[in-house]
Amino acid sequence: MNRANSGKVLVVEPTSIVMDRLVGELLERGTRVSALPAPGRLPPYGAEVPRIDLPSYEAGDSDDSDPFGTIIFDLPRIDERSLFADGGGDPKNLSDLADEAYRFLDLTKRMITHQVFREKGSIWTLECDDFFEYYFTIPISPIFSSMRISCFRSLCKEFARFNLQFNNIVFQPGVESVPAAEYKAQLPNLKVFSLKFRLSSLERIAAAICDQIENASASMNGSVVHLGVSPNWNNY
Amino acid sequence: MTGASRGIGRAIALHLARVEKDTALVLTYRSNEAAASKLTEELDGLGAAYELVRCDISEAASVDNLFDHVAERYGRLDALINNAGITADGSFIQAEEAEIRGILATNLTGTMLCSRRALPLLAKSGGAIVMMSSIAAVKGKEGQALYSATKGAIQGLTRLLSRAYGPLGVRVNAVAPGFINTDMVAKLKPEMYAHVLKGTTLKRVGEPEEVASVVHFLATPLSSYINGTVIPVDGGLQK
Repeated sequence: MNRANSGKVLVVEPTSIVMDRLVGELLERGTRVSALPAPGRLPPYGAEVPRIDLPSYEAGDSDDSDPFGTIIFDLPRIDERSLFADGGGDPKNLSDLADEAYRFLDLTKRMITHQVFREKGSIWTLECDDFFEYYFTIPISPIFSSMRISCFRSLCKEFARFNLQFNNIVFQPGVESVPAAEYKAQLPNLKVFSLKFRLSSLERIAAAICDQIENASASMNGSVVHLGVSPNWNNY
Repeated sequence: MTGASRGIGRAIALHLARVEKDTALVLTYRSNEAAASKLTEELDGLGAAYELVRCDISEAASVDNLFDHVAERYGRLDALINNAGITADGSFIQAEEAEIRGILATNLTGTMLCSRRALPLLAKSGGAIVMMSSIAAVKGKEGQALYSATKGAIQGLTRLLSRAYGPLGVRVNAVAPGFINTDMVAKLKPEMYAHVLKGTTLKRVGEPEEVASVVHFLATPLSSYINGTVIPVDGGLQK
């Protein structure tokens, strides 16, 4: 696994199909994976992916001999398209987003605490390029994704001295993630990315993410890794 | 404009008072009565048409009162400048829940609450929103992870709203100030920020007025074909 860290991976609150494929890819490559389930969700994977509960992350409670070297946050869960719908939206949705932001920041604190005393580790987030909302009816999270990316830019500066790395991966949606009819209809417009542009399969995206995480070293920190064809650099 | 009483907000208020003589300014402050009083004197000296009202943007009711007042008294809104914000500097892993929730409530929720109420008015006038992000969101800064996070969220919000309301004629943009000569910076010894200036093309700290002029540009039709963007006002930091 990650050259700079141990081979044990924790996936945080996995709910997306991209994460499903990524976990499958990690297991296939012989990586040990554990999961911290999202609130109210059952453990998403089989016995080969042990479930972890939050209390075990508190400083000093974890097994020092076998920490999680790599921690991966799944895609944001809130679809932000509805936040300002119908001329203003419901304020409750705005406070829900703030609660979700708090949860991410609190979990990140816990994950750093888990890794910082061992002076090694990397933390990643998965982000989907929200520019694709121009073409497809897909959930988007520009607020949350930008928040996580900016947060990690500061965290890398604060914790690099402890050999902790913070990186974000932004990828284009998998072909299975977009409505088939919309995909067919939008093909002419997708040449904004490249002539004869085609979305990648989730399998290929998961493999590419896995490659990035595997090959990252301490020399990559505070980075936003863009996967895809002609990726949308200017938004992140 | 929210957060008008100090720092960059004060500079924006004074700049707008000077260059937008025919515009009524509705300015807010949260709690600093002394700073508000001083700003009042300065605005009076300029002969500005303005109101300076107390508003805590982290409270939905306070924001509702503000925008109800604007709608009733003026019947229109041409620009919203989401300037109010707070910092929460310090060790990230030692940040307490109240501190984290506090900065989220003001910088993120407060900005969204104001935008939510302003958008229907702006859609009628073809107006604009200017968000206040920060170079901390773009470059990161040790000890400012919470601040960076919220200011990054503002950039995502800018993108989201510009897409949703651009077709309705509302523009939404942001500025990302760099190292600006505010009260906070004035307390620092030059050697504490020399490394920042070292990596800046202009080799100096920015002045609040230099941010204010860009905010004015984005808030008015001077920038009529600019939407969804974040303009750094940072003296060429790391260029």
